[in-house]
Amino acid sequence: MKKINSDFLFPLLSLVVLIFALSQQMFKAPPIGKLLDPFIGIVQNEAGDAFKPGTVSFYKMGLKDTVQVFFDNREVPHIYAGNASDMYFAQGYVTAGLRLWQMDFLSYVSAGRLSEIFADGFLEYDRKQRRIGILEAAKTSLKMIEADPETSEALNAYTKGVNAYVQQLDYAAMPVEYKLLDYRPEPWTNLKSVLLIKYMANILSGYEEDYTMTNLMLVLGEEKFNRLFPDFPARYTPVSDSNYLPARAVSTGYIKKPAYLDYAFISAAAIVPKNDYNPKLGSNSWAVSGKKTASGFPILCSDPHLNLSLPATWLEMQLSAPGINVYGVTIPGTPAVIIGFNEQVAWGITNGIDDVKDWYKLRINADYTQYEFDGKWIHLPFNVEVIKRRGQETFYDTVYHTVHGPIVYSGNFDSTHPALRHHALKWELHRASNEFLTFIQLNKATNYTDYRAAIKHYASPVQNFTFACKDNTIAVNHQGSMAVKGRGEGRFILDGSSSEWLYTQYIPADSLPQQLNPASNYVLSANQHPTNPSYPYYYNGYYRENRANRIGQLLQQQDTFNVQQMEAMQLDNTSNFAVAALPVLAQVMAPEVLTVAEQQQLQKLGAWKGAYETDNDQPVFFHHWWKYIQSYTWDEFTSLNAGEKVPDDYILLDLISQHPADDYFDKQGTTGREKAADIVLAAFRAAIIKVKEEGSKKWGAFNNINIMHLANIKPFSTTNLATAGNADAINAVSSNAGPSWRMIVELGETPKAYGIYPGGQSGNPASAHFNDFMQDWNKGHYYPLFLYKTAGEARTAATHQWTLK
Amino acid sequence: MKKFTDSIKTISLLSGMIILVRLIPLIPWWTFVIPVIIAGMLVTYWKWQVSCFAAGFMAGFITWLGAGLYFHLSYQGLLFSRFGAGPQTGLFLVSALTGGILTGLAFYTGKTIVYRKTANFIL
Repeated sequence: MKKINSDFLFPLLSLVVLIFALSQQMFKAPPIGKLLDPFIGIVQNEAGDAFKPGTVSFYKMGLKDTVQVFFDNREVPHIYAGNASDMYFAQGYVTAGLRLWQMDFLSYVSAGRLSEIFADGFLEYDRKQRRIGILEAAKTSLKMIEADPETSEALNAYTKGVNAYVQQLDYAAMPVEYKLLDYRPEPWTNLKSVLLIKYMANILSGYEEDYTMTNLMLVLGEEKFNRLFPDFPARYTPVSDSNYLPARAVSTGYIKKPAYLDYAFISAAAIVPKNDYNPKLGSNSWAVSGKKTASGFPILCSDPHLNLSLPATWLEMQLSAPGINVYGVTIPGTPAVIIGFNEQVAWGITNGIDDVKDWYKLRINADYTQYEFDGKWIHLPFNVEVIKRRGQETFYDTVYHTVHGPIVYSGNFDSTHPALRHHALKWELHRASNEFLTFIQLNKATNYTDYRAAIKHYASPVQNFTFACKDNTIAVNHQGSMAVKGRGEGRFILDGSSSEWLYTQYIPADSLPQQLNPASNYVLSANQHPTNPSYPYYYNGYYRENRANRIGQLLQQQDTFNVQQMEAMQLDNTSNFAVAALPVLAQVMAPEVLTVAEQQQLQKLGAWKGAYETDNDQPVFFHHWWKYIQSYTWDEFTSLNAGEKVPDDYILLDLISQHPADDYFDKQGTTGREKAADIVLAAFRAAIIKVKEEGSKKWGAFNNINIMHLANIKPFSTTNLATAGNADAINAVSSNAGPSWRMIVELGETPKAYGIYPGGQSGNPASAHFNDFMQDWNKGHYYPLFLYKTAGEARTAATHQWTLK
Repeated sequence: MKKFTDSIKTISLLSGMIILVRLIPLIPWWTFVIPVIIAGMLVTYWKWQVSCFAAGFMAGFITWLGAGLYFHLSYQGLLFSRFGAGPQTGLFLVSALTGGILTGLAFYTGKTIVYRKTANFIL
């Protein structure tokens, strides 16, 4: 006898509960059921490459014409379109196919929206991003960008292309990171592209030391401050060595303590703010005229250095449409090629590192409604940032604004930055700018005039553009918004109560530092000083001179160069500073006090030529030796509330050789009075002990770098990579930063180009192209880069192709 | 003997059904349990001699593991290998267990909806 009974209720209920549980994130673990379902879960991501071999056609995508995409054996797409709009559409589509998660994730990182992805732990980060004004700045710039027809057309097409890819993604095909972090790709927008440009601008111009310098000026006094932290160093090779006559002394010389600056002005007891930015990020780029090359055609080299991550910052691509045929690296999420070349010209970029970020101390009334400005009390407006949070209530953050900019640290935000409480932030990144247009126009530039017209749109942050044209024109431009400032203005915290310190003028484009076809037949930039002291405007920055000095020397030494020699230069591991310091330090050491073992160590060091090679142990010894010399000499600084800031390496080296009895050599807490020789010897002995403790490592083992996945997923990261190089060598690899793209282009009938970056074209960890360049990059190999002249050429070399309709 | 052949028949039937349902795009991942519940009802009606949870479990376990291995091997991707051998085995095992438990429970649920008091009821 059959009958329906109620015994099924319990198993049915269990089943429902189980399914529900397996569909949810639990204890930070992704939803197990969905994730491990073999039909849609992560095993489906083993499919690897998004673009399979063969010809695939897509219809109804809104393209005007057919677009052909040819992938070469390194999975570099070569896009051939009938018009620019279709070309940018295809760039968006193909980029999304290769790097969707990366570009989408970084737009969240930039906008301060990580709390939408991660249930907790990122609210403070999101608040910070909003409060320093990144999202608002992106919105401001977007208005300007969308008002420009050329940029607007490219960006709209790009966004459509990304969305054409996003729309056809089901769960099974979604990048694995979405599955692991349990969220879905949202539709792409123009704003997200702008956010990625602002993300780069933040990395490149976020570093500043205003509070530290203000404090140091106060405690050291003008004389010592100027001696230890001069605006111009003793040894430098400026971007532009033009002499401006008559020399106006405004850009150099003695920095006076601002009249408003006293102990009542600064929060002297406050802790130095922790710096979130890496001041050692550096880049190199140089161009040599055909008068100095074996082929008679110019060679341009560019190796931008960034924090290294997986998927890599850059994506290689060729873009071709009538009037444009360009090859280079793109930033996933933004249109056009950023660093690259076409049949006529090549260009490279390094960070300008000017100080474009300033803090203003404010006087605000008790109920936070007004602030004082030029003797009047002005209304203090605010806006409310809406921060959505996963599984929690939306957070509303009130941000106050003055004429200078946002007040970042106020209310209950971030007690770690008491020094900058109630200070307004003025930052070039906040101003509306359209950097896309520079790249859109550079991509199709055929001569120097086109190049100048293109870069004039570039505002923030200041970058050095190096340029070479087939006709042997070479140039370098320190390009971007540089405010007109009085001497010393911007090095210290500014007085926000007076319009005297609120700069509003900018250096005219024609007066920005630049060099065109110099007599030396080469131009170079490596984050060094942009000019010599005769430049008629004051500026300051966080310039680094060592690499530029080294590049200048190497370029000067030889009359003709070829591509192989340029490769060797980009891979050069020699630190100019180590080369200069070794004889000075050895000179100071009195041989009679050294033990035999110490003398042997000194001899070994003498045989070292300052090159940070993986298989040498002397760089490790020198590294420790110099660190100890620094900490013994500048021991006074630990009590100065200067954070980790100490005077430049060369200041100390010159002090050792020229003023060996300087007060700074006297160690605190000792009865005797130490001189340079005592410090250098003590540091030498300490380094010997340190090296022993560490097991006598070679430099490769010491300079062991980790290239982490953007979401810190360890299996997707490359860890323990033994690398050569040093922050002060041209090959500036250190901790997790280094050459994010090495490119060498020799122009000519057909450009001969070579390049490599640490990573791979695909963002999919299942793909063989995820990190296939990594080992070759670390070994210093280059791949030939193919700028095909016709679609036919590209087809012949393609391993697979796509057709978009 | 009948029990053995019925079990084999059941496992084959369930595996086939799971695979068919999972080939339908755009439906939630867990929808395969619905036909499994119906199968549980039918099998009871047909008087097949099967231990309902165990047979369902075996079917789900084998199907999820088999499908997982099939896709893994045919795609030849590097994703799982990046996790290392241990975690890789773990992923397949947890996946198979998930499939097994869900199918077993669903099949058992179906059986309990329609059952004969006189039948030899085995869990």
